Amino acid sequence: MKPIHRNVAVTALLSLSLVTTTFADSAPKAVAAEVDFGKWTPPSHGGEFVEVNLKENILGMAARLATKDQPEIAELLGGIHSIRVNVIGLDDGNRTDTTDRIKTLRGKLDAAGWERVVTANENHSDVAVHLKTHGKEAVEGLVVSVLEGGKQAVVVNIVGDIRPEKLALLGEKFGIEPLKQLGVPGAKHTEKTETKP
Amino acid sequence: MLLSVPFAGAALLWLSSGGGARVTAGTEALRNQLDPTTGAAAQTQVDVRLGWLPLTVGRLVVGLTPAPREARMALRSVREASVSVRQWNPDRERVTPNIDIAALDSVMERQGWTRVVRVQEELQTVLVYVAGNAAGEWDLTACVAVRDRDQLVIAGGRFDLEALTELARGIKDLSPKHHPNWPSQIAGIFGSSR
Repeated sequence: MKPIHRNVAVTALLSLSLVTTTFADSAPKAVAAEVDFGKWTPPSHGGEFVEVNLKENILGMAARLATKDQPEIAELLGGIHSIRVNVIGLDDGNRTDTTDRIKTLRGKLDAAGWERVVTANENHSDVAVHLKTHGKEAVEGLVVSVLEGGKQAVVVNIVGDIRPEKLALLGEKFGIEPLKQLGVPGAKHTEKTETKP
Repeated sequence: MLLSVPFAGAALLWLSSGGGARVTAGTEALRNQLDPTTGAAAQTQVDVRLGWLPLTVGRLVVGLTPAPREARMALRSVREASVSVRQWNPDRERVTPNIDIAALDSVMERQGWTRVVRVQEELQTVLVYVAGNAAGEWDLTACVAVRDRDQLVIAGGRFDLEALTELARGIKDLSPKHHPNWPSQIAGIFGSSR
């Protein structure tokens, strides 16, 4: 093999390994922060049931659309790999099962090393926010789980490269109330528990 | 040469009627799974399909006329589209109320669609599917189905999101002072007094 061909081949192989390594580094983190909620049972008597599942291709489009008018939102969306939202209306047919599953989910997240940064019990709302962090500055994923007065359950899983100071913006733009309370830079260890008799 | 003419004509007819195989297949699959009338004929109220040919002709025609910029942008943003509305009498027709979402998802996934939204409340169901492998980074192919107690609406299309965004931005400037040639009736819609 001529020296120039050998150099080209070596360069190509090195580039390929770099690309492969890059993808190998990013994919497992994203997958680890993606939580499988399973299949929720809709209410049997016509209550509300919502599933939203947005992947990188749609979020990428939204980020490009927002670039001109809302660059901050575009930057936020550009780092997100997926967004899953479930809103489950509760009735006698699914209340017990759904409530148990959400409590089990919270226990699994705690056991898997997710940080519970918010625990709130107020006005018949049971709220928990879990973060999966990577080092001190990076948030790979978050899960928000809410049980509202036996009437509704909400579960949200956002996966991506999320900076802690952007969490409040995330909450504001996607209407996730518990996240709006976060977002003071470096305040990701905030925890509050309020229980009203 | 003579044999190629009917083939060319058939191709043009197919292209002009729908043309987009993926969009057509997606909306057909939704209709087959969601139309609840088993055996009884639903009344089709609307069935419109626009492939690339009529849209291209439309763009050419509009380009040669003094049509508003928004009309040109709207035509540019749509690559293909189809809308169908079916209605039935829920008290008279045999209607299967339940929707097998898992079966529907399986059929759509085999065609390359991913469900991104499902909303169910009372007797209304809304489903949104998008297709992967977009032709370009601004290309969006989507199907939407809305089923009610007595009606099924299915819309599908392929859109240029960049053009749609420009159109949305342009709509903010839809006041008559920017379009002095618009008829007074249209100007009246926007609250202007002439």
